[in-house]
Amino acid sequence: MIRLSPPPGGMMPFDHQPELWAAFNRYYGTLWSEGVVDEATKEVGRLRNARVTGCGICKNLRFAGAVEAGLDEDRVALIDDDYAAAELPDRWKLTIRLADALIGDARIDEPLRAALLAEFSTEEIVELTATITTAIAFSKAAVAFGAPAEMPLVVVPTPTVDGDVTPA
Amino acid sequence: MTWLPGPAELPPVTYERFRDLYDGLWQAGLDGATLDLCRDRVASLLRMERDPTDWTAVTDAQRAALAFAEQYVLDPHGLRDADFEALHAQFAPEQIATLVLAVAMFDARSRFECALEVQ
Repeated sequence: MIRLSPPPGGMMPFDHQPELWAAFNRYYGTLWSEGVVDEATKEVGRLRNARVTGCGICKNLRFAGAVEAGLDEDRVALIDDDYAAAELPDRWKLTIRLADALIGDARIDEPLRAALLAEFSTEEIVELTATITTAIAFSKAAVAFGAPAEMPLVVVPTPTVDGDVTPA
Repeated sequence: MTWLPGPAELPPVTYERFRDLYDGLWQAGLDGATLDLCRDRVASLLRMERDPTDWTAVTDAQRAALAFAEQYVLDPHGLRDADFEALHAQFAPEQIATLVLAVAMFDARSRFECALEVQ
């Protein structure tokens, strides 16, 4: 069963509400393209959520800016259950811990708070938290609509204020 | 009160775009009372607080929306075709699109607030 068919001429269920969807993309694009946290770090958080939440769309999307910044497929493969022992920058491991907390009960314990404060500014923590929680929103919505379990890997432009978050 | 040393606030332009989205949810064809119920239920689940819903007063449409919202928060993989059939029985497709995006943003906002300890 298709849980919510796109409207005639549309590509996805949210095309039923084009103005609202455009507002989502303006907000999400602002977090990605006008923020203070480097794009690769935010992409690590987004991809961690994609894997844990199990969104077949999100985990096979790559944002171009993060790829260009060095987040290649060898490193993406390390964002798994054994990430703590992997050869990833400590900043990215910390971001994975934050993502896991946000996906779970959304509580940040004292050790994680201390680690975040040692690595990031307040402004960066706020932005990273907003970006990951919004990525969670998109992933869970895609799962709710019955997104396919897998799809081909696609590199898409990093979301911008006037852009979109899904491939055309 | 937040555990951050500075204000847990987005930059003004980012926050303005968040408000455009968030406030726009109430202008997108779904009645405000249903959205309010879903917002409060999502928040109560994530804050681990008492369910604020007065179940004696909810309509069948609101019951379907709340059921969707609860399962969305707990595990969207647990949503079944029957949950969407229940929504289609009560709402137009445009309203379901609004509901799903609204619940997604309620979930995101509540997670943000819980994590950073802001209201």
